[in-house]
Amino acid sequence: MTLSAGEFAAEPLPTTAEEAPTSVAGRSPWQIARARLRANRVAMVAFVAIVVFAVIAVVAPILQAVGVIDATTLHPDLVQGPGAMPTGAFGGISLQHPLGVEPQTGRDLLSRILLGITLDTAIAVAATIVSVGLGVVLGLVAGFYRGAADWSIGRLIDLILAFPQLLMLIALSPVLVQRLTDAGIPSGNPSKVTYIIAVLGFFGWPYFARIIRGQVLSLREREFVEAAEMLGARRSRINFKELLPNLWAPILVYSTLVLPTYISAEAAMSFLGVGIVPPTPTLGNLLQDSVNYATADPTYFLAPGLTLFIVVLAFNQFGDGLRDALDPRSDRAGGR
Amino acid sequence: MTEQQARTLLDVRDLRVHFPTADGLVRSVDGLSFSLAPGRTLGIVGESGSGKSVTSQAILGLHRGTRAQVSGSISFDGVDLLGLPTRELRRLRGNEIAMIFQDPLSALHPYYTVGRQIAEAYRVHHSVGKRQALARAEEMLDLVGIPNAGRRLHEYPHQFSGGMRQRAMIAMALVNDPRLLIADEPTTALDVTVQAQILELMKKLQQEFGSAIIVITHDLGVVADIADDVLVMYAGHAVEQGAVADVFYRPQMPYTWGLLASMPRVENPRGQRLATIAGSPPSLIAPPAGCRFHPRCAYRGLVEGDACVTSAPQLATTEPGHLVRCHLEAAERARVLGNMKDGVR
Amino acid sequence: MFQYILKRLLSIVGMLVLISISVFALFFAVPADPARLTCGKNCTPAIIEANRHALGYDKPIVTQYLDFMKGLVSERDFPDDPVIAKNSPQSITHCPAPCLGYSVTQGQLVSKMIKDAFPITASIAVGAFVLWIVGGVGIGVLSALKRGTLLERGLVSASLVAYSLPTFFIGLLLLNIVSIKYGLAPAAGYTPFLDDPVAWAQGMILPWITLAMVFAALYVRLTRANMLETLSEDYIRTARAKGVPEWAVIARHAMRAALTPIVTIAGLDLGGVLAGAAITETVFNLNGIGKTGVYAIQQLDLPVIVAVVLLSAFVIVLFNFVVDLLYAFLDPRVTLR
Ligand SMILES: Nc1ncnc2c1ncn2[C@@H]1O[C@H](COP(=O)(O)OP(=O)(O)OP(=O)(O)O)[C@@H](O)[C@H]1O
Ligand code: SF4
Ligand SMILES: [Mg+2]
Repeated sequence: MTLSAGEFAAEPLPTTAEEAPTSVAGRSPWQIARARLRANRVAMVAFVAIVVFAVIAVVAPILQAVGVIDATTLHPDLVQGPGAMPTGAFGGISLQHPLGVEPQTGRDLLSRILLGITLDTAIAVAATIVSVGLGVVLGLVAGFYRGAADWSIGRLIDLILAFPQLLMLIALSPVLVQRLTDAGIPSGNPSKVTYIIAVLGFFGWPYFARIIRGQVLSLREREFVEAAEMLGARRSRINFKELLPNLWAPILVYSTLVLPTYISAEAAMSFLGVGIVPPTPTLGNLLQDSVNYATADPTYFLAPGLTLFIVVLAFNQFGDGLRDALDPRSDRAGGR
Repeated sequence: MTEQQARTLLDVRDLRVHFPTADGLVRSVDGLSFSLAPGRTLGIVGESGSGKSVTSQAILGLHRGTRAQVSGSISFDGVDLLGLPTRELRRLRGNEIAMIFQDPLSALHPYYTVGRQIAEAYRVHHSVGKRQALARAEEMLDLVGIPNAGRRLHEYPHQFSGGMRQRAMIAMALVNDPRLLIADEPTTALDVTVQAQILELMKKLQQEFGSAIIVITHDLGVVADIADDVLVMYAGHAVEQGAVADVFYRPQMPYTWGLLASMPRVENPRGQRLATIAGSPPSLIAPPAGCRFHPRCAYRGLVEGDACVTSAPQLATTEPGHLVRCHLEAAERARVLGNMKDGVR
Repeated sequence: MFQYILKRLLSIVGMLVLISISVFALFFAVPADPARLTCGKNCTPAIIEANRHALGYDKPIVTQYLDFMKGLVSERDFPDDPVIAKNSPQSITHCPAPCLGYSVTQGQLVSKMIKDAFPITASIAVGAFVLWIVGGVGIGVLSALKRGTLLERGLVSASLVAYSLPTFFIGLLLLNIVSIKYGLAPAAGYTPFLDDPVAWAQGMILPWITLAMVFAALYVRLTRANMLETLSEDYIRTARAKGVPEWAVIARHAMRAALTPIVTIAGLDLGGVLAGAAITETVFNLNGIGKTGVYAIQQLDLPVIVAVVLLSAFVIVLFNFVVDLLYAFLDPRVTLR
């Protein structure tokens, strides 16, 4: 699912590691992929950026807890005037507040962005896990049992993909958030977070399931051919251990490409009014609030937007590099 | 070969085709020389990856615009092909020099009818209308023995059987009566009867048009059937070349011995396992020092010292027109060959 | 062929029925009382009851669903009550077929709202579609042909940057900075095409760019990848070996094969945006299908939500079908079964 900011489209499927070239030097496909990835400077920069964001995501709540950053304290003294705009140039940038403060509340913007990264990545990672989990299980079932199971899963996928997804993401919110609260999840943001993870995960699994199913079927085909050639066997069995290495590569590539779309999706949901609400910061709700100050306080408008952009870009670049590294065809060239 | 050099159509000298890759420089063809006279057929044999297809593509200049580094010289009817501007080379491609590609399913465009693809090959070199070109295509399909050519013309490659696709490729290659036909494994993956028909067809066409043919194959039977000369390739090198009769009856080096031994023949009863050459093809990035075949050679013990491992053998003439790349002494070769003929194998 | 089309049409109908049932089940099981939501602050229990009755929420959900389905082929009245019809016919809203329901919140028939919204969405979608196809495919082909050059790297990086920018961020930037702050582009707004084509196009420029940006970026990548893969195919080598001039190798042989799958994806994407470009419409405050849906969701205006979701699903499924037909037409290897 390529949910870049809401409108959906499909990307070509990543290819698999087993198709990777058998090297002259006799290295494993994984080693070749790693070497290729290392040689791809853009992908490596993106990787470093991802690591930095991951560290931020883990450390930010700790920093908040021990008081190094402070995303919640109001600073009425730092805003002024009828619009309660930040005092000072560029949205009130100062040593204490490197990115300035929010209008109205005077909360520290940098702290809020850092904490926003934490929540956004947590949601995206969790939703990806849900998608992968559902997709792998249902894809395996469809590929292994074929027949009725395959048919039903196929129709279910068709059905899910027929829904206008973005609209469903927001339309289901009033219905399901309440249900989650009724089910015992604390009301307000915890229920909303759960809801966002659940719907993103739910609408994302069909894509994974299709890849997995395709892999299982093609492996079956190959096993069948080989077995038939060697033994004259009528049918072959594939065991899971053999299958797994062939599934890793596409899952990994696809996850890296899907994760940033989930991050943008969270922001899009905030923008459309069903996201997580302040004072809990997310990049989405910061951006959504900052829209009102786009011209009056550009720092406030641009900081969360650019952060979101850089996170998404880093994942896309890395995912691209990963796919190229695992794709044997990416090295071929045309002639004249 | 000597008397043919007077009327040479194609002359390849010291051809090298190298591919820079992430893993290093792949030396697919590494100093290959041969020549071919009109009306003659050259067979190129060698195991998979020895550089046969790369060589044939180099003749047509199909490596242009890729990262491949091509050097040496290829002259066709006195014209230096490597130095020729692409614009002029294009006039020769498909017209004077035509190619039948390995694997016709992937070599034919899936979205166009077979007739249209043959007609296109004709129209590129003749100023005729679509209708005329299609009529010519039908004629060609008929010529290569496709029944119902008029109807088949309008079918797509995937609707053809393997043998028919191969014939369609041949029809496409012959549509302009080329003076040189390069056939890259024209019969691989075809069953024996179809294979025989296709070879017969090529021979007939050669008689009719007097074309020179290069036939690339794994199958020495095909060479014996159709070729006048043979070139045995190993790891981008010629290891033995000469007239078919000479090479087949007096093979002079271990790799050729191995190839001939693995050839199915009448006296080799069906079901009996064919001898194969042990070991796998060498790396083309860092080929073995000395003789490239030495890691797999069973006869290098017969060479004194460690010449096979340390010094690369050069192509040398053993009899007129018969070249061999091997350190073995003539006497040793004769002895081994004698043993083989005695049926030690 | 005919059989295939029939089968597909049947499955489309089946799919839409399934979707409508799930939508009904989901939304009418909303925990909040939908009738309560239909009136604002000065609500009295009497009004709520009246609305409940008017919308048919007092009937069992299965009946409501059947009423809704019936309305698609025959007319309905809100409230559907012979007593009221006799006593005060002026308080009845008549809804001719195909009736999609009545929005109390908006005081409008849903079909009327959709009829008003669709031209707006269609205007946005079609213009953006042209823009992203021309831009995306053109740049994609160019970058494949210029493989290994600085130009290619620039185009590919630019497309990845555009691809990583959230649509609403692009839209807001264009709206607030380009349009409002510097006045570099005409403000967005909808004028019917037939009224004034120039004003129509001017009002659509920013929405088109916004919506087309992400798609164009995606298509650059898809097209480039397809072109590169096709250019390395054996049949391209065959074409060159035949002596076909390079421009024809690219136009006739490579692009024919590389762009066919793009047609499929383009068809699906066009269907997707015709089903409502919620974000773009919301950013530029254009009352298309998407914004209508978003607003209805915010108001919990159930009849509108159901209608919009169903309509969108219908468009998506329909385009799926058309694209499959088109693909079979374009690729001789595909047979419809
Ligand atoms: N574009 C390329 N880049 C790198 N290596 C290449 C390229 N094209 C060919 N090679 C290598 O050159 C070697 C010779 O290839 P070639 O296709 O000529 O073999 P061949 O003798 O025709 O084998 P086969 O009998 O399997 O057709 C192979 O090892 C191949 O991997
Ligand atoms: S040179 Fe030596 S290793 Fe090479 S083929 Fe001759 S005997 Fe064998
Ligand atoms: Mg070959």
